[in-house]
Amino acid sequence: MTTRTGNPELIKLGHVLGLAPEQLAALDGLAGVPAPDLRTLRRQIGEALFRADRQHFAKVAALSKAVPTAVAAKLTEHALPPLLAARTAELLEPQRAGDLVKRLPDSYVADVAIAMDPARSPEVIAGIPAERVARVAVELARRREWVVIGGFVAQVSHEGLAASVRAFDGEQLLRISFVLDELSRLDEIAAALTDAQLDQLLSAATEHELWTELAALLANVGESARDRFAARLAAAPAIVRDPIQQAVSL
Amino acid sequence: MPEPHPSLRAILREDPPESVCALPAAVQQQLADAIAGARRRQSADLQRSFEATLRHVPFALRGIVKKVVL
Repeated sequence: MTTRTGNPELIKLGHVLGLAPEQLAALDGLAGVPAPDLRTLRRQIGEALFRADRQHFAKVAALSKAVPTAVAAKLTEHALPPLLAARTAELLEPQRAGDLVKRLPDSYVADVAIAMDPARSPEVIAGIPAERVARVAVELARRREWVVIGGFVAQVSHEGLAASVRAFDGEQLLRISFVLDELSRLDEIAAALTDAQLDQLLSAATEHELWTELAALLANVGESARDRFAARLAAAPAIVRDPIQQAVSL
Repeated sequence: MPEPHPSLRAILREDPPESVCALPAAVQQQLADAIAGARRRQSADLQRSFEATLRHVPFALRGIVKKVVL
C-alpha cells in the first residue's frame, strides 16, 4: 500500500475533488484501491460533477455560438471566468472551440486548462499548434500544475508534446511524469529528452529527494530509456549518483 | 459483488468499481461527502462566474441574459 503523497492516482483524484494537498487525508481510506479502479472512479466523479451543472454550461455554449468567433473570443477573455469557459468549451464543436483558443492569450488558456477535463475535449487539444501547447505548458509548469499538465499529455499532438518536453527542465519533467495520465506516452517523452535534461532530472531527484517519482518513472519507461538513465547516472558526479543508487534500483 | 454505499451510488448515479464497493461504509460515506463538497464548491464557483459575467452585460440586457443562462 502506498501513502497518499506517493500514490499518483490519489493525487489526481484529489485534484478532481478540488482538495488542497493538506486535505488529501480525506482519501486515505482509498489507498488500497488498485490504480485502474481509482482511474475509473475519477472518471465517474468527473462525469458526476459535469452533469450537475450541465444545463448552465449548455446555455452559455449556445449563447457563445450566436456571435462571431472574434467577438466571442473578446467576450470570453474579458467577461467569462475560466471555470465557466472551461465547461462551456467542453460543449462547443471542436472547430469553434479551436478558433476561440487561437484568439485567447496564453495565461487565460492556462487558467481554462486548470479547470478543464482534457478527456472531454480531445479534438480541440490535439488541434492546438505545437508552439502554443509549449507556451501554455510552460505557464502551467510555472504555476506547478503538474496534475493538469499530466492530464493534457494524453491529448496533445506528438509535435505539441515534443515542443513542451523541450521547454521543461529536469525537475519539472520528473514531477509531471509521476502524475501522467497516459503512461503509454512516457517513452515518447523519454525519447525527446536531451542528455542535459536527463542529467537535470537526476540532479533534481537528489536535490529534492524525489525518490518515489524517479522510481515510478524508471519502472514505467522502456528498456532503451532505462539504459540511457543508467548511463547518465554512471557518468554523474558522486553527490548525485550515490543517493540515487541507495534509494532507487536502476 | 458487494453493494456500494447508497449515498455513493446516488451521487455517482452508477456503481463504483468493485474494490471501492468493498471498502468500509464509513470510507464510502466520506468519499460521497467529498464528492458532494466538490459539487457544492463547483455550483458556488459557477454562480460567482455567472455574476461576474453578467457585470459585463449592458444593464438593460442583464435580466434577459440571466433568464436564458440560469
